[in-house]
Amino acid sequence: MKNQKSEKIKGIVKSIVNEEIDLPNDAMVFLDPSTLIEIFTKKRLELISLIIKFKPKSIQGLADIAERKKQAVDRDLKILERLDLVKLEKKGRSISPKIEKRLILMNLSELFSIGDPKVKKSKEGAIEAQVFVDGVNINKKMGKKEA
Amino acid sequence: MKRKKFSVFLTSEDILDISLEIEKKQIGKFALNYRALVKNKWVPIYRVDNFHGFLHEQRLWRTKEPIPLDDEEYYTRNDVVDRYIDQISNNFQKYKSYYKESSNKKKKK
Repeated sequence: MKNQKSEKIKGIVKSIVNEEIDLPNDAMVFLDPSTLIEIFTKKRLELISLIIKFKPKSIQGLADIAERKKQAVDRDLKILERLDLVKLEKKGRSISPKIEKRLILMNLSELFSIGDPKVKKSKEGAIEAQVFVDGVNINKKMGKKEA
Repeated sequence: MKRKKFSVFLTSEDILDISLEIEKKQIGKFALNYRALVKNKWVPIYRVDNFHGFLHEQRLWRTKEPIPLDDEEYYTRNDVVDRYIDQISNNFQKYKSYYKESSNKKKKK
């Protein structure tokens, strides 16, 4: 039996090589929506959005804004830090969370539907992955307005 | 020539980093690097690339020394990349367990 992960990755590589899709560099590609949901829980996405909006100077500050316990916020931030999505900057005694990447959530199948319909038809079924990317070029490239 | 670098999540704790150099719809140089989250750190476990002029792999649970590979049986570099994507996708869990076993043995010594 063919390995589904392998087939999806090969499909993505082939589409990039044939210039059917253009992922920005350092894109993070999720083959399985459950993995995406496992990493980007509602609370972690909320933390990302609160850091961008309020620029808290400490983890405690962020926990207060999020109305969550510091320990839980700390745990979530470390997971996001491991993925290079959040940077934890030490300033004296406190640690300040920073977001240095712009995040866009896209479904790869949408990329195909935005482009040439022939491309979509020829690639149907090959790409079902979800992608969480850093960068703004996908939307521009595909002629879609930025969110 | 176009360079592409992206990371594919095989699971939430297993990532395949892919680097490609593409020219005229053909892959030139490439690197596939499998890393896993072991004890809260991302560790490189298996790598195959041709960035140093020859195709080779590194089985990092054994040694960092590159092991030369033969690519003559493949028609194109694209086929070579496909073949190693298959290999990693089919074996990454096994490779991770080898890595863990090996680092446990090193600790015992």
